[in-house]
Amino acid sequence: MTTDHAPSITGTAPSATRARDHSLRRRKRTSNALVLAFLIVASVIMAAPFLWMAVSSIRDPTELAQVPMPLIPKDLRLENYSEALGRAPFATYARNSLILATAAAALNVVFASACGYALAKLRFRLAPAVFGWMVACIMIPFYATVIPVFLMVRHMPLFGGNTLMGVGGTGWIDTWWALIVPGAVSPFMVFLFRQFYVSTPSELIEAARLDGVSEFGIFTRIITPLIRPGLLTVALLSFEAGWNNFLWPLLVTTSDELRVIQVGIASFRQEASTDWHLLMAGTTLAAVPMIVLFLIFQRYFVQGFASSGIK
Amino acid sequence: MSLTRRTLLAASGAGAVAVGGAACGSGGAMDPSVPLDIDVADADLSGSIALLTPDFVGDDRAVLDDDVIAPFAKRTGVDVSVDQVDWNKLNEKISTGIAGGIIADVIMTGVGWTQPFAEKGIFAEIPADFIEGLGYDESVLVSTRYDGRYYSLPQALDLRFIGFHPELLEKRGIDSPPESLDELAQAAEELTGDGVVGLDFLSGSAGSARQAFVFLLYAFGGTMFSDDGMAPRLHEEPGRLALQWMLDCMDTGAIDYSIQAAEGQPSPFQQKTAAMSLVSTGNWPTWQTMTPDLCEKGAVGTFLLPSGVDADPVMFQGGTFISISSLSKNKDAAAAFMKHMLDPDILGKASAATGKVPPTPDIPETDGIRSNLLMTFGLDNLPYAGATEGGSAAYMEVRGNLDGIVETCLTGRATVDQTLADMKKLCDGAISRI
Repeated sequence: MTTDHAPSITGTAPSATRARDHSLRRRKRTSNALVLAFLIVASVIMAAPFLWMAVSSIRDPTELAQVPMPLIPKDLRLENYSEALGRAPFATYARNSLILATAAAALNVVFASACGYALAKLRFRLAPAVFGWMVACIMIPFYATVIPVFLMVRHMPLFGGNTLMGVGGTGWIDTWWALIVPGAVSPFMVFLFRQFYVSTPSELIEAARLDGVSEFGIFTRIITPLIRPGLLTVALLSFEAGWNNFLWPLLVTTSDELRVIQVGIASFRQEASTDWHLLMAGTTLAAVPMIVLFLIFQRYFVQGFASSGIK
Repeated sequence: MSLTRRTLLAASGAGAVAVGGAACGSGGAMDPSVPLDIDVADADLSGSIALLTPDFVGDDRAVLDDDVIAPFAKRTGVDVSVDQVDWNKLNEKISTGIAGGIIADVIMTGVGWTQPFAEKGIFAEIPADFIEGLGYDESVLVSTRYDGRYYSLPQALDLRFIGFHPELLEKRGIDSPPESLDELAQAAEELTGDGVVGLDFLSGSAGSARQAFVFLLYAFGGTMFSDDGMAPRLHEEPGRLALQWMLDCMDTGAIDYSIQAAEGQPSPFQQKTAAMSLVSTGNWPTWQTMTPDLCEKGAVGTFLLPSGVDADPVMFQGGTFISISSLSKNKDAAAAFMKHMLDPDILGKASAATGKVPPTPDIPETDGIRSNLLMTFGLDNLPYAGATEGGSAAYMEVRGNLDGIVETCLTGRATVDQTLADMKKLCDGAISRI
C-alpha cells in the first residue's frame, strides 16, 4: 500500500521543499545565464558586420590594407565622412530617399490595409483566389517583373509626351510617379495586413453594421485602430524597402535630381577599385535613419510580428 | 452608364491590348544600317542628347561635366544629360531601355558587349573611314567590329599583365622576366615557399577565373569564337592547354587556388604574399590609396604574359567602349559628341580622372599619366593588347556562366575534357538562340 510507505509530510517536508526550491532556482539561474550568454554571443555575431562597418568608416585606407588589420583604429579619420559626403550630392539623394520611403510607407499603409481588410473580413466569392494570387505574387522575384513594370511605366498614357495609346513620349520615366507608384502596394504588405485583420473580432464588425456604421467607417474607425502595431510594422517595413531601394530607381531615373542614396553609395565602387573607407562612411550614414527608426519603434515592431503570427 | 461586370472586363481587355500594342510598337524606329554622319558642322547641331556611362563616378564626375561636356555644349549648343549607372547594373539598364524603346543616344559599354548589342540593332554603324583616320592600333579595334562593320570605339582601356616584386625575384636569382609560359611556370614554382606563392593568377584582384582563362587561351594562340562569332573555339586545343597549364601550376603550388582576395582586403600581391600576379591598370588607384609604397618607382616590375606557342606575348584588354544608339533621334549630335570624347585632349583629361588607359598613346602627356607606372607600361605595349573577351553576338549570355565552368575545373569537380565540353555546350546553346 502506498499510503503505508509514503514519507511523512511532517518535520522533513519544509526543508525538502526548500531544497527543491533552491535547486529549482539554481537550475533556473544557470539556465538564464546560459540563455543570456548565448544571446550575448548571438547579438555580437549579428552586430559584428555593423560594428565593423562603423569602425572601418573611421579608418585610414592604409590601415585597411594591413594584415592583420588592428581591431581598434590607430588614428581616427573622421574626414572620411566629409570626403564621402563631398563625392556626390548626398543631400539631394537623402531627400529623395526620404520622400520615396515615406511615400512607400504611407501608400502601403493606406492601400494594403484596405486590401487586407477586404480579404480578411468581407465575404466575396473570389476572396480565396485573390488571396492565393497575392501569396503567389510574393514568390515572384523582382527581376522577373522588372521589364513588364518598366513597360507599363514607360507607356503610361498622356504622361511625358505619350499619346492616349501610350506612345510618342517617355511616360513616367525619370519622374516621381515611376519611383513611387509601382511600390505603392506590395503583395507582402497585403498579406501581412490580412493576417492582422483576421485576428480581430468579427463581432465588432457585425455590431457596427447593426448600428448603421458604413463599411468604410468600420474599416477606418473600428477595426484598423485595433491593429496599430500592424500599421507600424507595415509602415516600417515599407519605409525600409523604399529607403534601401536601388535597382528600380536606377532603372527608371536618368537625372541626378531623382537619384536615391543607395545609388549614391554605389559611386564609391568603380570597375576595378573601391574606396572602402568612403564606402563604409557612406553606408554608415545611410544606415543611421533606419537604425534610429527601429530603435524607437522596435517594441511595436516585434509586437506586430508576434500578433500577425509570422514571428 | 452603369458599370457592369461585362463592360469592366471589356474595358480591361481593350486597355491591355492598347498597352501591349504600344509596347510592341516602340522598337520600330530602329534603323542600324544607316551609317552615322560624323562630319556635321557644329553650327548645324542642336537639341539635346543623353549619355549613358558607367565611368566618371564620384570625384571624376566633375571632370566629365566640366572638362568633357561643358566645352562640347559651349561649342555646339547641344545639351548633354548624363545617366550614370553602376557597371554591375549596366546590362539591366540597357536591356530595360531597349525593351521600353528608351535608350541614351551615346552608350558606354565594355569589351565583348559590342557584338551582342550590334546584332540586336541597338548600336548604329560608325563609318570606317572615320575610324581609320584616328590611327588606333588594330589590337584595340578588334572588339569594335560586328559582321565586318564598326559599332563602337574604345574610349578608355583597362589592361592586364603580370606584375612582380623585384626583390623577391632577385632573392631567388631570377634576373629577367620569363619569356615563355614554361619559364613562367618554372619561375613561379621557384618563387613559391616561405609563405609566398609564386604566381597569383586566380585571386580575382585583376579579374575573374573566366578572364584568367581567356588571357591564357590567347597566350596559347586561341580565340573564344570563330571570326564570324557563330562557332565556339575556346574548347579547342589552346583552351585545353590553358586549363592544363593552370592545373599543372596548382599541382606544383606555383598557383594557389585557395588564396582569394576577399572584397575590401588587399590582394596577395599588395600583401607581398605573392611574388608575381596578374595586375590590372585599374589596380593603380587602389595601390595609391591602400599601399602607396607599391607606386614608388622600381617597387614593382611588369611584363607581358609570355606566349605558350613561340609567338608574341599578350596583354589582356578590358575597358570602356563608346557607341551611338540606333534609336537616337539626334544622331548627328551624338556622333559629334563621340568624336569630341575621342579628341586627344579630352582623352587625356578623362584618363587623368578615371585612371584608365587611353586607347592611343597620341595624347598630351600629363603628370597623372607619367606617374602611373601601370598606365605607361600599358600604353607602351598597346599593340600586344590582343587578348579580349567576346567576339560573338551570343557573348552576353555566355560570360556569366563561363566563370562557373572554369571554376569547376580549377576545383577538381570536372576534368579538362568535361570542362571543354561544357564550354562548347554553353556557347552552342547561346549561339543557337541568336
